[in-house]
Amino acid sequence: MSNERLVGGPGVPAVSFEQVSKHYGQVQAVRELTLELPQGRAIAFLGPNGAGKSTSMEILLGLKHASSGRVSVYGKTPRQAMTAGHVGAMLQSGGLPADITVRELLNLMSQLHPKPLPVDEVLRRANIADLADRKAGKLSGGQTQRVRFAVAIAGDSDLIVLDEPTTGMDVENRQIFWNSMKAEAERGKTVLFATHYLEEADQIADQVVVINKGRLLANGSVADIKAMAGFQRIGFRLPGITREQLLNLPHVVSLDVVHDHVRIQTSDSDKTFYALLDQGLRPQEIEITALGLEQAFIAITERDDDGENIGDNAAEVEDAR
Amino acid sequence: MTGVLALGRLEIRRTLRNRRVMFFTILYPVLLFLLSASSVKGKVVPGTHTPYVDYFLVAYASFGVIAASLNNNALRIAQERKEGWIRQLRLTALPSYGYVTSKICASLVAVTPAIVVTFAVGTTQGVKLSGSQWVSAFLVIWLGSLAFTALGIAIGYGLPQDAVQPVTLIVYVAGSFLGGQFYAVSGTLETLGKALPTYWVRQIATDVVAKNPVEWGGVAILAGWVVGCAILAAVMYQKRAED
Repeated sequence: MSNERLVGGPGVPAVSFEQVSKHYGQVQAVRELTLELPQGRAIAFLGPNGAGKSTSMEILLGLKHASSGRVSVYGKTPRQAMTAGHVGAMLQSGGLPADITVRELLNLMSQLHPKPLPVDEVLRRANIADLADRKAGKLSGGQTQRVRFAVAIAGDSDLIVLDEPTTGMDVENRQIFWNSMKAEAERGKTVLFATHYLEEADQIADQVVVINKGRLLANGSVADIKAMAGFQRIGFRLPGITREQLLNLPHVVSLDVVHDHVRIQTSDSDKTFYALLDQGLRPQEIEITALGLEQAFIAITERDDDGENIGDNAAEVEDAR
Repeated sequence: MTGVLALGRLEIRRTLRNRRVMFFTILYPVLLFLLSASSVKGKVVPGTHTPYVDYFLVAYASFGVIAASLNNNALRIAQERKEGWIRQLRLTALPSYGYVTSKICASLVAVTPAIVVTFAVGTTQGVKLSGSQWVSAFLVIWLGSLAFTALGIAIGYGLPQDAVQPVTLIVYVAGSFLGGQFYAVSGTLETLGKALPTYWVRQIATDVVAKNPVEWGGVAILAGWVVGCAILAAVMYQKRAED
């Protein structure tokens, strides 16, 4: 990462949330979120639908005001950061007038930016040179997403915020899109994207932030998140086994016994498995697999959901837009 | 400022290439003018010395202007709210007044051909005015369009999206009817009309053309509409900030 892009010195985080809450009437969309996102990273915002991802993003973009707490972007208020040209953003939907061409749109967006980029450069970076003369209303879903990404990078912003950027894209388009996203990150920009495609986070992110029910659940590298969920899974069959016999195994994160089948999530599969053998158990049909980010994510959010008080479903609301 | 200008330029281009807008602001009023003018050749407006042709010239020029400023802005803003365009613009360095400013500038450009073309057609129908009368009549209608632009912005922003189209249509047709855009109103209709900007834009421009003294009360009412609607538009812009 080139240090010359760092705005206001390396100590200033790109985004900082301090005790940020947002509620709509009774509904608590974001709860006391405290989070610092450093400069120059690709950061994935993960969370199930209604977790508060979009609301958090709208707050940091200045589209919504936090009910309490403080958000700063490069040490400024969200609006100041926007006016200074620090931020380029792509929302989940909309934003393209049907009757103007892609080139006209990008021309405007670049002129509205304090640090404009040549339109042809933007077209190239977003991989949409072939769409330049098309009317925005005549684009397919995947093309529309790529054009909306181009809008987000029409100026030389330091932070690029993308809310579910690859929704509605086919596999091929998604791959092209990821390459453009990676290229922006490699230019030293901070890229913050919300997604529910875990593969996307796995491929692109250096840092993953997991949000559930409006609260911060985990924040770390992809490896950290996997470790947090329990790195590996051990599965086997053992006739007559009971849950009680397995409760004192080391490094176990979660334990599942259904009839004769056992599934264990563990942060150290070797030690767990040796301990199992030391107890004199001889399991059959043994499988030991590493967890992907997807399973890790599901494990973390499920654990969180189980730990919550029953009836506390205030955040189970679609991100209000 | 560059940003506001850039957006204004794009607004103008979008308006001028919109065939529906061009039809209602130029072609339709000109056709109605030609029809009306041929039926009133040589007649004067009852109770005045104003030739009916002159009256209709001003009336239909202002009718086109209402479509270009009121309808165009109200419908487009409702559309742009739906499309998320306003939200997208809030994710740029465009100042908060930039959107409305660009709409107003674009409207002032868009109404110009509506007036000029109708005036040009007027000369072929026997309307004879001095240079300063042409210019003054143009300026009255041109500046008067600000009231309709502000009203259009307030309606487009202020009403629920599905209500914008019917309300705009009602305001457009009823306002033009009471304002005397279709024929010279009198009696109760005129009393009602005298509260409306449609009436006063037409009336003041007619007075200029007919060399009558301008009624300053009317100018004040027109100015009141401009200011009132501008405030309403600004309030609505704030209210919709988190949409």
